[in-house]
Parts: sequence; C-alpha cells; structure tokens
Amino acid sequence: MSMAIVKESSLGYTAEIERVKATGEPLVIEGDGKPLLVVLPYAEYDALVKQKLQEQRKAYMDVFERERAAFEKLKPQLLETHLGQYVAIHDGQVVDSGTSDTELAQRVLPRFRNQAVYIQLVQKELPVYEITSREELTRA
Amino acid sequence: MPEYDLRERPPAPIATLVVTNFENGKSISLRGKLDTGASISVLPLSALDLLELYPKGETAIVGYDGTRTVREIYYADLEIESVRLASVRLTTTPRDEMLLGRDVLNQFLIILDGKAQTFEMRAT
Repeated sequence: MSMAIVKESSLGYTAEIERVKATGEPLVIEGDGKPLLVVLPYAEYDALVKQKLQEQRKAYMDVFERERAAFEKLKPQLLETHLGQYVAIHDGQVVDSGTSDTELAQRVLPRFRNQAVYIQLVQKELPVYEITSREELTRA
Repeated sequence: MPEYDLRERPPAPIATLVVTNFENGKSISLRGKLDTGASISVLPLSALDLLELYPKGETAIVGYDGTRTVREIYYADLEIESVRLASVRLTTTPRDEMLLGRDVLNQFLIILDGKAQTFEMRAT
C-alpha cells in the first residue's frame, strides 16, 4: 500500500485534528454531502491495516493448505510422471512443471496473481537446504 | 566500495539490497549479511506483510547441529549492488536483516578484504 504523508500544519483543519488527537474519534471529511475521507489516529489506522493483512493472509493460507494437500494426494502419480521436476499446483491440479522452481515461479505466479499456488519438487522427501548460522537458528 | 558493518562482532560484510514482490510490484530496502554457510537466502518475517508476500512452497532446513525444521518458501526479485536477480527462492527468519546464501552469492564475484573491512560484489 502506498501512502501520502502531509504535515499536520498544512491540513487547514487544526481544531478538528486536535479533537481527533484528544479524543481518538475519527474525523470524516465530506464532499457533495457524502463522506469522502477519514482522519483517524495513526495507531488505529495501523491496527486496521494489520487486521486486513492478517485476514488476507489467513484466507490465502487456507487455500494454500488445500493446494499442498492436493500435491500430497497427487504425489504417487507424480512420482511416476514428474520425478525430479518441480510442479505448480493450482485449483488442485498441475498447471505447469519444469526443472527449475525459480523459472517455474516466474512463469506461473504472474498467471495466478495473488492466488494460492503450491510449487514443489517431486521426490519422496522435501528438498533440504542448510543454514549453518547458529545465531539464525537460535532466533528462529 | 561497501564497508563491513562494525556493529557486528566481529565486523561483517552486509550489502544493501531491494526486495520486490514481482506479483504486486511492492519493494522494500533491506540489509543482507553475506553468509556462505547458508545454501538458501533468508528473508526477515517482518518483510512479509510489507511486501504482501505469501508462501509458494515448503522445504526442510538443516542447522549447524543437524536440527531439521520445515519452513515456507517464497519467491521475490532481489536487486543487489545494481544487479537484479529475478525470482529468488527465499525462506524466513525472525531476524532483522536478510541472509544472502550461496544461491545468491554464487552469482557474483565477491572480494572480502577483512583487513581493510571492505568488500566488493559484482556480477560475473
């Protein structure tokens, strides 16, 4: 989300802004008799943004889990047809495959923008990477 | 030439970079510690909401002591020292800066001058 920032002194609603700061109650700015904008305490705005992001992430993760489960269901068949390749699962089906996950992501993700896609290497176990930083692991 | 970060003990080479979610164009600037001990690059958890970046896979991570954990995989573009790397595989960490693992570092010529506490990264 991009955001425009203006100095409080340039708004021309000094008394109303002071009221928002003092009471925490939002200020609604009208135009043509209809509400157009709302001025509210930043902490409240920040909480609303975080809540919206959490809801978006939860909705995404619910679908992502379904795509992951679809991969597990398809896996016995994929081990015969796509062993050693990466597959992209969307709507419970293989929508693309290839030998590089990063190239597959570049192809597939723009096609299904902001929708859940599960990309995984077809092999018996999960691929393994190493992170040997002790500091990183103790923080994780 | 970038200098080592003297706040690290001992001082460490930390590059400045830009991470972009190529699905929505959102970008942020981050610090990335060069870590040849990592075979995958690692993004701070705090970056996920800022980029509105969602997982696309999962992997097993093995630590220095053999500890094995399962973590989510993300894909994002990186720009490091004016070099753009498209769709880099990333996992996450609660730390504040990125770790740039060998998957990224191997795409650069890197000179670490520990004596002078400077380093150089350029595309090969």
